[in-house]
Amino acid sequence: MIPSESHPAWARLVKGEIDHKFGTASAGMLFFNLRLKYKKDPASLKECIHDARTFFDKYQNILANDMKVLFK
Amino acid sequence: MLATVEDVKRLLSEGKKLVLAADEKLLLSLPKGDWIGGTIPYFMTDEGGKVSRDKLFVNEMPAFLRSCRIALYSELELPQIAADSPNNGFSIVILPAFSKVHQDYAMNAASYDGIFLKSIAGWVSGIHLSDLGSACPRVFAGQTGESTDSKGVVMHVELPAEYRSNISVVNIFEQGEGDEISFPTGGFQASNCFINGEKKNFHDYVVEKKIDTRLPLVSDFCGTMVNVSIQGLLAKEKAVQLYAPVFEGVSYKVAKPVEDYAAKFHVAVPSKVVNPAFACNCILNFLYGELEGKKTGTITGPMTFGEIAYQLLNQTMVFLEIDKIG
Repeated sequence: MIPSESHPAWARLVKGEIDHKFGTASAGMLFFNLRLKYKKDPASLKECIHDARTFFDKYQNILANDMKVLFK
Repeated sequence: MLATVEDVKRLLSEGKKLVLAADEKLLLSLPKGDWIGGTIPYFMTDEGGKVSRDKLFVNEMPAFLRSCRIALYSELELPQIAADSPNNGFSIVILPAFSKVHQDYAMNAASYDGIFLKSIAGWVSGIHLSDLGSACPRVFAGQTGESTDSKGVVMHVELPAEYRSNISVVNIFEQGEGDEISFPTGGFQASNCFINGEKKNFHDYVVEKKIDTRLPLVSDFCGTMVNVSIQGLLAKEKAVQLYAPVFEGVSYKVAKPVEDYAAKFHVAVPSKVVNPAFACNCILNFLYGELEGKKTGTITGPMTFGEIAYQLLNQTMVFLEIDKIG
C-alpha cells in the first residue's frame, strides 16, 4: 500500500531532507529532478509529491525495497 | 546482431519490426517497412567492438508486441513523446546528433510531463569520425521512407498486459574525490563555474588542474550516476564544449579514472542479462576504452553519440529488457 500524499516522508524526500539512494535509474532521476524543481519553486511541493506518489504507485513492484526504507 | 542488407530486407518482408543502426547508404537502400534507423558505423557485436560501413545492427522487436507505431518529432513535438508512449510498453527514440531536437531533448526531457512514468530509451545517431564536416547524422522512419537530420524518430511499442519493460543504465564511472563543480547557468557550453563555491572560469580550471578531458563530469542523481562528457576546450571563448548540458543547481565532480573499460563493463552488467530487446553504448567508451575487438559483457548494440534512458546520457550503456510477469 502506497502511503497517501500527506505522509511526511514524501515532502522530506522532495526537499532532499532524506538522502536516499534509489536502486533504479528512473527513480533516482525522477527524485533528483523533483528536488531541482522544488528548489527553484517551493510552491511546487504539492505537485512534486503528487508526481512522486504516482511514480511509486506505478512501479511499486520494483520499488519494494525503497518503500521499506522510506516509509518504515 | 549485425546483418547484411539482404538479411534485413528478408526480416522486413516477414513483417518484423526493427530498430536499425548503420551507415547512411545502407539505410537508404532499405524498402519501406516497420523500422526506424539512425546513422552510425560503430558497434559492439558478439565478437567485440567493430567499425563497419557494410553491415547493419538489428534489434528485432518481440513478435508478441500488441502494437507498434512510428512517428517523427520536431523540436516542438518532442514534449509529446511521453504522452504518446504506451502505458505498458516502451518507446525507442533516435535523435540526430548536433540537431536542434538533440539539444532540446537534452535540455528539457527531464521536465516532459510523465517522462519517468514511461519506458523511454534510445540513442543519438552519428557519423564515422573521419566524415566529420562532410556528412550529417540522420534518422529514418521506415514506414514512409523519410530520412531527416532535423527530427527525432520514435518507435512506440505496446506490450500485452503480461509483459513489462525495464530500462537499465550501466555507468562505469563514479565521482572522484576532487573539487565540487557547479554552474550558474545550464547548457552545452560552460564558462563560468563555481569550484567548491568559489567563482572561476571552467576552461581555466580544466587547464590549470590538467583535467583529463576523457573523464566525464559525474553527478549523483539520488543514487544514479549521470555523466556529462567533455567535447573540447574553446581557448578563444574561454569555455568548455560539452556533449550533454550541465544544469544550474547540480553539483558535479570529475570522474575517477578507469583503467580497463571492457573489464569494468563485464563486471557491471548483471550476468542474468542476456540479449536485451535494445541496448546501446557510447562512442566515447569505444574510443577512450579502445573497445575495438573487445567485449562489454554480453551486451551488443550501436556505439552512439549519446544515450537515452528517459533523459540524455553520456559515456553510459543503456539496455531495455522485456520480462513476462509471473
